[in-house]
Amino acid sequence: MNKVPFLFVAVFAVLLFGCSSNQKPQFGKAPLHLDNFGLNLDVETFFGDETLFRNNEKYSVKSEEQTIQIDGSDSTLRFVQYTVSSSPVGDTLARFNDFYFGDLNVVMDFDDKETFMVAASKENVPPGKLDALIKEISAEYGNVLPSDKNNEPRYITYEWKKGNKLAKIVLNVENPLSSSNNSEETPNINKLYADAYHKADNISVTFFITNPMFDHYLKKARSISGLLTRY
Amino acid sequence: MNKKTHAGIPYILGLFIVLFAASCSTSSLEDVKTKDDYIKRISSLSDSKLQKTLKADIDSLTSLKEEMDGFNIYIGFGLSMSDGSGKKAEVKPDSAFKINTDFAAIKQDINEYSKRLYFIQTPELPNSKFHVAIDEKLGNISTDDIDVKLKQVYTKGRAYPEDKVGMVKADSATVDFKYEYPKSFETFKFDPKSKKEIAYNKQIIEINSAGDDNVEFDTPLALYKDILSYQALNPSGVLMNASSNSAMPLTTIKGSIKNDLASVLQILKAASKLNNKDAITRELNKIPSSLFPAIAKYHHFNTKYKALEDDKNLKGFDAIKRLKELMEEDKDLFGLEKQRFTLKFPDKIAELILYITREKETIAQSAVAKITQIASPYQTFADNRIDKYGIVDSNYTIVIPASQARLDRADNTGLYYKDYKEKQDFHLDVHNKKLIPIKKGYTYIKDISDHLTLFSDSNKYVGILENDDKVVIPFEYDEIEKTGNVLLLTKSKRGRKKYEIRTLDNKLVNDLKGLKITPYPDYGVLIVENEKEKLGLIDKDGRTVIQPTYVNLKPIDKDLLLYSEGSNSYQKGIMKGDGTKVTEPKFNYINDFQEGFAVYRTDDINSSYGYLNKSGQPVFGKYSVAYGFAGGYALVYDNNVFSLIDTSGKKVKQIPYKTLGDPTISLTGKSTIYEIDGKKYTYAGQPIN
Repeated sequence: MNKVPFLFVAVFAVLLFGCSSNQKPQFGKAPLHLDNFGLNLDVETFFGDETLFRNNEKYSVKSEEQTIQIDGSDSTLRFVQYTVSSSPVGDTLARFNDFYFGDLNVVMDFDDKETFMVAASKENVPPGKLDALIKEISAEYGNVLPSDKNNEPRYITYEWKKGNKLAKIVLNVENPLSSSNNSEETPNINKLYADAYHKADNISVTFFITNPMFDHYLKKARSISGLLTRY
Repeated sequence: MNKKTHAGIPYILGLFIVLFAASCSTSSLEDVKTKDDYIKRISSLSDSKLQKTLKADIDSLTSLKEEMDGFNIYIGFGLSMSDGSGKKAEVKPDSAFKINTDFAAIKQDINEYSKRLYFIQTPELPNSKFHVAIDEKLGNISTDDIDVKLKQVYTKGRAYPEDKVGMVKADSATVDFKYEYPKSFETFKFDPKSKKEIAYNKQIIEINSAGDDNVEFDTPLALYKDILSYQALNPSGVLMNASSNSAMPLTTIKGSIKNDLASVLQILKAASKLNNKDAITRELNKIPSSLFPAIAKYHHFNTKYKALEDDKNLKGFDAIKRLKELMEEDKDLFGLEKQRFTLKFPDKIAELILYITREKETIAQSAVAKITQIASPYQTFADNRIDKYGIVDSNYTIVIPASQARLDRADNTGLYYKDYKEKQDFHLDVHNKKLIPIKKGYTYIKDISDHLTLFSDSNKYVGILENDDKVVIPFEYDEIEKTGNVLLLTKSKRGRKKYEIRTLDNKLVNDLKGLKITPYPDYGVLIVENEKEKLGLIDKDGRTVIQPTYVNLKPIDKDLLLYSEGSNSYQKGIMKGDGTKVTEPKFNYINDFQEGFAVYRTDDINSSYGYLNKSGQPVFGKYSVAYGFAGGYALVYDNNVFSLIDTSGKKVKQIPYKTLGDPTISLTGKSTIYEIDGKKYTYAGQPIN
């Protein structure tokens, strides 16, 4: 057997393997992996199919250029928000390990270079699945951050921080602490939260991964819209 | 609410095809094509077989009769008037139905109608078609309900009957028209859930279904014509208008066919009681011959309908079109005898109320209608004899003979045409009388200049071709608009719009990166907005002449702009197109200039409105309210009086009113109409009768 063609095929196969294993995520091809997510989405590739924004038969994605203004200051931040405005019912657009999300938002800086945030949501989540999701996020990001006792969110919210990445999940379940002043006496807030969402029906969960700068702007913003309002 | 309002409504919120066509049955009689064949067949049978055959025929025809009685085709469009919120709204009482009893006003409107009639001629061969209409609505009559018939058309005094006119261009036409209106009505109430049928003056209303808040019923056509409106009462006695309604003609098997079938059944039953073959044959000879081809046609239609139903590729309007074609092919089978009402109300229906004409009056008149031209020097015509299309000029002289399978005019220049089916555009070469196909895949949008034309390609991107051929601006833009002397091009990537300004020969003039754009084509300029929501101006040559620094900036006349500066958007002034300030920002409001004057408003408590000239100077008086100039006059209100002022500020006419309200105005020069306290006036204040 001639060794040259064999070598060529072998090199080609290695190159091909190398390419496929390093392939950047592309919207609609496979769910975006939010576990071990680097917050560095290349939108040129991810939303590279221009028909997504024009006349795609399966998906429809819209982009909005927005500006956050901070109340009482001249400080502004311009960003681009990509929102999946329609996708097949039951389709999964993102996943955190085995937890799949049916809705996806991507927030980029105005030059489409830096990823400010990825947000994904899912409705009708059974409490048991939520338990597992919280456990898995904690496994990657560490312990849940203690809640801000001076500013309890309206809905049950868990936050994590790892390096320069913040993770947050918000449930559509009223925060049992937001309407009471007894959080000081509550020995185990996590148990209180878990008890509350275990009693709830039709839980929807929104998962955010963002950076501290965008987190700061969102918390101080005069107004925000879309999925970001759940932040 | 009018029973005919939904007919022809252009926006379709629901589309229903309801078909009741039971599966066809077959039997010996139904298989026979003519009466003679049937009699021959019966005559050849032995006595014992004859009785069996008659019994089988009775069973078969009984089944067919039930099938035909239940057969109806209903192609309807539903109009929903819900607010779309999906929430159950609180039921508020609607006002009771009433008719217009100002019969003098109705007669006056009919006179007005006869004066304003015009017609449109559609050039066709062998004969043109004519459509008679009026432009404006009249307050006391529904012009859609007027039955108009064209009698004769005229060209330069010579009369042509409608079927002899060919493509001669008519200049006037005589028409006969008839208008029927109710003078009194009856209120007919019933609980639709209580009965399957209910009679009104011996006419049967069939109730197909009655839910809590909805009802579907069929009425004979004669009764339908007299139903003026409908409402319902809820269990608390609240009067409700329908929240969605449709009333569509119901196509049924012709009454004459069903009557024939009923009589044949009687004949067969009578024959089956006879013992003598000759007597039976004599009885069967009474069968109407017309029934046999009708039955054959009915089965033929059902077979074609079944094929249509099984064709999964035919959906929506295509399926309706095909169904209509099938019905046209077998049109002898069908008749319109009923009207189907489908009504939904905001709450439970305790009683349905039909308002039915008791007395009516008919006005029949003749009138002369003038032709209205289409605004294009060229248009298509159809030669129906060969089913082809060509092009004629404004005198209906043939420019391109009928040779195209489809052809539609693309714009008012009359120089571009489309064959939508073949997705092929054409350019009319008037000089050489040729229809030149444009590059396949390109669709004409509009002319940019004498030799530059905007097209879209098969990917819906737009670009510009020179002389329909050479690409001047490549096909990579979403929109291209000519503004002033330059082009504003909009491109998008990942849905993000980016604007740029280029010359007509594609030289970049201004890269508007990151700016939002609002074009003002009437003034030939663009307003740009930066990320800090500050506004600037780009002139007709695409140059940035005012940097984005203003909180308000808007063209209000050629070379004049309204502006506000700093952070105070409430105080407005006027500046020139080069940024030179004409007035300080001291006005609360400045409208566009109309006929040399712009209405402004200040903080003054009583007389806050006035007029500015183009030097930004307030001129003549101040008023409680002022409106723009139109035809040399403007409406003002002060000291509790509406007046018209002229361009020197002199009050030239007072307009009386009893009840003060905001006047309705559409400023369109000398076509302006003011409506004050329900009465209409011309631009110069003359009352309109």
